[in-house]
Amino acid sequence: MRLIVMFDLPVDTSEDKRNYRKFRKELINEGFLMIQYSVYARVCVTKQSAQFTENRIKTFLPPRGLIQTLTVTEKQYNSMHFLVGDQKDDVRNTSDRTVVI
Amino acid sequence: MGWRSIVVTQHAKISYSGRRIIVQTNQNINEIPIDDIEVLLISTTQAVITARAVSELARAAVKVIFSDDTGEPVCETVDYLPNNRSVSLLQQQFNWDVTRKEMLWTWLVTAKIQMQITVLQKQQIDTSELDYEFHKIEVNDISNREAVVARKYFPLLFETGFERRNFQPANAALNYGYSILLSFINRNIVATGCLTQLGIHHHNDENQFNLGSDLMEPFRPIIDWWVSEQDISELTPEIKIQLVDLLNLELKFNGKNTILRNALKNHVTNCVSYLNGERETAKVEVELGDEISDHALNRNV
Repeated sequence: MRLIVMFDLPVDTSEDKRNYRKFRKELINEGFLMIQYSVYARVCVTKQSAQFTENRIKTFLPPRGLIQTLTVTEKQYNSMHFLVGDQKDDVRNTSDRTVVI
Repeated sequence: MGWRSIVVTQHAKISYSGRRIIVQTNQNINEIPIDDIEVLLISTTQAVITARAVSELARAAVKVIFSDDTGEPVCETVDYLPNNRSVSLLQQQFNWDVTRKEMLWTWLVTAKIQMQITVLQKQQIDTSELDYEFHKIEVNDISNREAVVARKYFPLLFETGFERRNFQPANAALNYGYSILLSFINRNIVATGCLTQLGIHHHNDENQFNLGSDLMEPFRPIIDWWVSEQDISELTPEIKIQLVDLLNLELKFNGKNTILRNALKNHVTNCVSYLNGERETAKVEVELGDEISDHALNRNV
């Protein structure tokens, strides 16, 4: 199961930019991977853990802007079409239970 | 929370940054969220790990297993003071009721022998000898049927003349699989706040993991099964990785479909709460699927 976070944040003032940087960094610290600009995804084992992660995100939201989340199943996520470009090759982008490095 | 095993097999630097474990190899940099990791197996001596990474992994209750120059697991990290370990809990463990310990050991041995018989049946081997011994189990296994069965079981499963103590590649694979299983059980024991040293039947002074050795018994035959299905002439990295991957084997535990790593977690909690007097039984019913295929592994998240 994947939790996808999509956002548009204002970057007009230096305070806006700081809020944006802080939010993005926190997302990465939560284990999210940038699958493209402003779109982040993370593997969650169950629906509960997706909910849990979303609740954690709610603790560091910036004051303004637009942030949306979407939960999709593993199957739905993997059937995503790549019209141009390729999938990110990253451990965080797989759901394998055993990862060999 | 963790659900992932990470196996490091090559020259790497393992460090910590922003709630992620960074594994830097010659080719690329892998970042893994620390909350996802359950076991970190460093199966090479070519890796370095930072003290910060070790301490953060311990805090996240991740089992870190180190290997020697032959790739055999040699040691593991054990949390110094897990936050759920209290004096009262330890006192409870030291005062575990003798009858409960004996009953649990009986169940564990019964389940183990039953599993051994199942494994033999899966290989179409005659189990009448084992069945005969199985019916003679007594409470606390005072007649030590467990050892008697094991002595008959291994030569039946592998070729005649097979001994657990010599240096055959199959033995090396078994030992490898068992140590991964033991480490994983230990991780769960530590998570319940118990001491791994104080067992219910094993009481070897040199064994730091007596309790783990007790509780893992019913699950050993799974490793035996897998190893007996392979034609092992050498313990290759590929085989080691597949042994680690066995933690994701799909099976039925106490009537519920699950994977081995979750079954082990349940099993440890059941046993400990039975010993603490919080429940009346700790049943161990394991049903294996028809075959171990790669397809059965790695499938569900």
